[in-house]
Amino acid sequence: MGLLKEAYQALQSIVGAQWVSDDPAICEADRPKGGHGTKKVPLVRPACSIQPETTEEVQAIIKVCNRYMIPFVATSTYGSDPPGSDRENILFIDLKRMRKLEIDEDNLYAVVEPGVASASLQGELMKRGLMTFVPMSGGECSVLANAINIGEGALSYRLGDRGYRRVLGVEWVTPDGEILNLGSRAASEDFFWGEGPGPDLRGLLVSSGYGSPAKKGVVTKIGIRIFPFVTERLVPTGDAPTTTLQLPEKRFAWYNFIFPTRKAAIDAIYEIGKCEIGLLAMTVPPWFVSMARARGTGKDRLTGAAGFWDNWNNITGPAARDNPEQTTARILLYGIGSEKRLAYEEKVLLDICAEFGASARKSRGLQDQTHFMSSDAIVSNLAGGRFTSVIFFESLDHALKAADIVNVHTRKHVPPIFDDYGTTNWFLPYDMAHTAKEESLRFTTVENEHELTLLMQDCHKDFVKRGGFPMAPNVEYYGPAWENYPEKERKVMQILDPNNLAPWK
Amino acid sequence: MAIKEELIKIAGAENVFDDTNRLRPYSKDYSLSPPSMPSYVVLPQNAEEIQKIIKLANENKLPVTPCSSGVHFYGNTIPVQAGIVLDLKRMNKILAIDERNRMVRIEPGVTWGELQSELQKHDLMAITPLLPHPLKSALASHLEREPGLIPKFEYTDTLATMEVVLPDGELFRTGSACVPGFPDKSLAEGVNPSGPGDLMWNRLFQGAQGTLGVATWVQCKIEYRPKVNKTFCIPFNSLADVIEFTYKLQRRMVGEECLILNSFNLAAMLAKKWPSDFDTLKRTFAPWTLILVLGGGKRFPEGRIEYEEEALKGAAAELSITDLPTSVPGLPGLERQLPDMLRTAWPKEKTYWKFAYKGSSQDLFFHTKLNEAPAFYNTVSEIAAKYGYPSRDLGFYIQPMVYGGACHFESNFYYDPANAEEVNTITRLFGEAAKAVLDKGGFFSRPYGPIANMVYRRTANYTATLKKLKKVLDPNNVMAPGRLCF
Amino acid sequence: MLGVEEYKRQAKLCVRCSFCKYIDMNWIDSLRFSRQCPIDTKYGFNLYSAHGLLYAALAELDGKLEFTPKLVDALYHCTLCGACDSRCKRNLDIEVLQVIETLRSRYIEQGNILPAHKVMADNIRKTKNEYGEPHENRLKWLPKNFKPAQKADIVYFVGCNSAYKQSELARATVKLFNQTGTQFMLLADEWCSGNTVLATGQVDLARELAEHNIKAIQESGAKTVIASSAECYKSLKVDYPKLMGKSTEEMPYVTMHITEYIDKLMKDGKLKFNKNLPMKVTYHDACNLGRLSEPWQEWEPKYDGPIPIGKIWRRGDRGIYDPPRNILKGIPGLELVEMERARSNAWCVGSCGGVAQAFPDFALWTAGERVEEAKATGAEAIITCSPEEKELLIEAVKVKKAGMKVYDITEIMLQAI
Repeated sequence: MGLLKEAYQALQSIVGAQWVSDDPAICEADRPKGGHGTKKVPLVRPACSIQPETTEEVQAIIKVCNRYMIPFVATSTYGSDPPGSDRENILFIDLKRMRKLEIDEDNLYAVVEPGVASASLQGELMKRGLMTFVPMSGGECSVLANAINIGEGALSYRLGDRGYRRVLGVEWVTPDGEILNLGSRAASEDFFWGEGPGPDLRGLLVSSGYGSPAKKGVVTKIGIRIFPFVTERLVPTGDAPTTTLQLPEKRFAWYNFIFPTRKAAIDAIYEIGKCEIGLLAMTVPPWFVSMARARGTGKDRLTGAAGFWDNWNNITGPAARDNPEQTTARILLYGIGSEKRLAYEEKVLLDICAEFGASARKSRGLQDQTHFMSSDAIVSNLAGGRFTSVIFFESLDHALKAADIVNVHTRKHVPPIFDDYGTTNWFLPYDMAHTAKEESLRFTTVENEHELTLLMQDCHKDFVKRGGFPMAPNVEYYGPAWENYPEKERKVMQILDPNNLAPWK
Repeated sequence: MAIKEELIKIAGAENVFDDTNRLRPYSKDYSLSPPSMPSYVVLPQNAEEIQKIIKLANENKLPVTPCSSGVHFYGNTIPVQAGIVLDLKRMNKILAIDERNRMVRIEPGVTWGELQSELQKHDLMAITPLLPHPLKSALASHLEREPGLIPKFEYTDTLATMEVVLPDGELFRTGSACVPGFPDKSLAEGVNPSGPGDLMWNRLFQGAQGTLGVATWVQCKIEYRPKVNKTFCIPFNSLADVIEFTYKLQRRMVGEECLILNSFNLAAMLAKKWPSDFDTLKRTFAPWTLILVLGGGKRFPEGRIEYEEEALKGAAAELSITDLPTSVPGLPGLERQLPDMLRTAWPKEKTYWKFAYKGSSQDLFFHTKLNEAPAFYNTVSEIAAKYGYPSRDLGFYIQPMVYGGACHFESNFYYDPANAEEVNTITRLFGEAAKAVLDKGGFFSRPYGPIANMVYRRTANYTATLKKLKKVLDPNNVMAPGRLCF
Repeated sequence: MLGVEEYKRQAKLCVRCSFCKYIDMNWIDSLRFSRQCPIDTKYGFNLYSAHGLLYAALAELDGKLEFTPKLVDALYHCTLCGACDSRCKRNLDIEVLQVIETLRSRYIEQGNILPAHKVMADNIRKTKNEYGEPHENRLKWLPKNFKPAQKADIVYFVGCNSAYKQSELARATVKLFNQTGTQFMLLADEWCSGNTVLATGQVDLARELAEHNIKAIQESGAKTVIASSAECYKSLKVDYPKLMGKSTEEMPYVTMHITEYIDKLMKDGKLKFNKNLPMKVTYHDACNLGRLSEPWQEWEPKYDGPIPIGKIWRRGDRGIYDPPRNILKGIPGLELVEMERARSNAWCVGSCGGVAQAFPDFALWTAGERVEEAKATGAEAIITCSPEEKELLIEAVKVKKAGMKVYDITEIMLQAI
């Protein structure tokens, strides 16, 4: 169908003809690739694609959308399909031209636009003795988009469980085309403070659901908290794909711990959080070991999918089958402020892990440093299929129980669902173990997609009854049970989107 | 049935009153806000009662103003359009202490003193604001986003989940507490603040000053309470110098409690006898003191103190600071008392430190960037001087980092509330200072009283959106009308 | 080029993570120089990126998309620098570059061609060089007193640019051979290596050129071919076996770049640079010498489920990065400083892929980006290993008023020997 000629002309006037296009090829490249998990998403080509450079342009574009009733979605680095991109006749707003960045080193915050990738910000910060959070989905993710949507990864142990913890002032073009500034930005040009005035309207914006901010208009700038880091440079070495960052030995120490049981690992992690040591902590399911082995070069070494399956089938899989309870935890300590800190934290860590029956090994793994820059979660696709996850974001104890329940359900669907011996659950403590994530990964192929859908349904029905709290819950299962929240949400969000152009439903 | 009878039916006769003498204490507080009488005061016991009261209020379009602390400073509990005041002090249980997840669930009537003393039995503590009044509700502090003394560099929100009676009387739980069966029969333990769904509801209720609902409990984060501490009270002559040093500490992520006080406020807090001790201490103290408490970790506590002290000394050496005293002049041994003092409420038996000098104080507080604090100090001092307020009587408290964010800057104007002329002077001084702060970029994240008007005039679209939100959640405008921008 | 099944399979693997747009992230040091893909950086739309082109490739294959003006524009603005391919293979082993190359060949197969590329192809057919210069003048650059050997193990492949445009580079190379006592031959009938021809999707013509040159090399009896042009080097080492359906190791000759050769001489103790050359320089890794130069591994697609059977991966980390650096570090007085985007992260200068011919303004722009990056190092000069890149960089330096010199590495070596 396409946009009305008048609408297209208006868009051209806003950004200039070179930054808007309804060419089929341009729009094809912006078509959704198909969502997470097994949800079948109709893959509809947008009607038009546009690339604004300023907040004023964004606002003008959305006003045109309201004038001509054009539904729209927005993206910055296109790490995942924006929700609503499966609707007909949408305007695809690509924000990657918006790449301004300001850093206030003293007051520990930066102001970013959507096109700034996490790794780019990290590069700028590390040479200043500072750091930011790089999400598990990868350093190419937009800082802004990630912070207002999920924003979690291995560094969440220390840097706060989700992105919302790091968002300060906000400049937001709401679906009705108004500019809503939040926090200190509401009263001045500055982004240094997030809450208020009064009720914190960031509550309307940031959350934990996948893609949910994309449902709420276009955020054009945020203040984001940054953190002190060691002053020594992390020196990069190697040529891709085997690159790494050298962590100064006097400042960093990686440890792998093998716990006899999953519970012991969880108990230890709780204690580690209470002692407030460490920069990063997580359990490592055997699957990850196979993934790590799959990367790298070498003519004689099996890599890629071959390397993955060779390792899983011959080494890691059998070990997991024979000892499914055994759990590896990986902890990174850093001596910020003082080298003695590292020594102290090592002492505490070893003390804790000995108490919970773990054997310790100091680690210098090649991929260890990815969490600072790349966070290569995408490598999970290397095995030759996708991984579909059931994810819970609550307490560590909830995580442990949820993992067991998911595994019980999974057994009923093996085969064709891959038998991982109940070992692909992994636990990521957030916020020094105040909260945590549990993720159960299920290897997904065209052959087992249907069975996986059935598994997900089983899990959701069970968890609703048990009072489980998954991330990104399916509305049809959880909506009625959870305070009937969709209805409340709809009423509230209507104030920002009276014409229903953003896909927040 | 008359309103009063309905209320009695809900809460019981002994918990409802409408006689003037009993209503009067609720008509005013320690702020400069003009008094306004409620029509009724009700003391509910539980959420169910609150729900019924609010439904009744909706039916009769009666305002409802909740309060929980036994003392109020900002005017936000004065019922400006009369109606019902909900005094939640009977709801005073510590519902659960979750040692594993380091969370505590409390009702509105729990004071800081009660909370901290109970938590201390488990070697735990919540993060206190600066010496809260003994009657101050810990829940209210969390809802009001009062700054904590411990920077907690990567922290932000201390509040996880909450239960709220919405303005339509519906009961609503935020975050992962929304699941069926919470807390006793659910997998979820109420630790995730996000949701349910795509909104962070608890953020909407925080800072709302009761206009969007009544919190019946909150669940917030707690931490290990260090048993071994080392305190430093580092004197500085200029604010710029203390700030420069504080930035270095922040980069090294050193310490638990970290706050900056001027000599007046420090003396007010530490004086045992008034006015003799106070006068002596104020003269003896340096113009500014940075209080820094190094807390030993749960394991090998001395080891943590040792490395933090090394970091502290490293920072000091960079600025050629050699004097790092552990106490203040005239009070040897303070270092042993200070950590416990800062981790609880002001003692009941002593006159509250803000009232000791003249009977009351009007506090001007806002957020700014730490390096802009000296400019605000000058602004406030100049305006105070303009109104003849002596600079020696100005109190300043700077919380350099509030949960990993910018600083909280607070000026305290002490005055005699019985002296009409002083009240008048302070009112005008306060108004002018607030406007100057706003013009200079200071941010009132928690706008009370007249400051709310100033702020909401400036934040046009934010204000408009808040009003729309209010209309959706409280179509009859029963919750604390006249507050904020409503 | 990829067969249809493999083409489809590879394009479908894209998850659109956008790694293809950034340098290897562990190496990112600034926002300014964090991006890798010239077309993505300049044109913004996702079509102008690897993942956009892969999606377009799928749609074109399925008949859902034609070669619209924008698709052709995006497809041929791509310099085929291989950065996206290398970046993708950090986490996903997708043959990104091969998909894009195949998409180009599909464009040509459907009877299309960009006018500038047609001119180039016509010239090559007629005169065996892309400039349309007389073929008989191909060896005119040779100094009168230079006599290449009649028989030697080494043959020097000159390349069109050095033969016709920057003949000082060809002369510098032979002088180097002379100075190092290297016996070398020249091909009596050297044709254009066909680097740009293949890059533009003109597979048949490229194969014709390859067959001719391989035969000429074989007939010369040389065991080793040395090129000082990065483009010719890559053609001989990678494109020719690809066109012949062989792996590099199966070819009847070994290919070396002049820098590999000189580096070997240095390691064997047969060469030392003695002249002091006080200069602060930065080295630009030509794509054809770096990422794109790994030996070609011929492979018939065969899978066991998701596992490719017997495939050997080319990911760009085994390109010729160290020999030029060893040489530069071995020159007394020369200070080598690295750009942020170096080695397999190098930013493409824009001379390859047929871009300089069809879109000279864009090529100049991308070269200008590189000049800004070089300038930021504080270096006085940029060293490269590609005549085409040298030309483009010189022009970009002028446009940017950067005040830097640009040298081919052979010129530097000759000054220092």
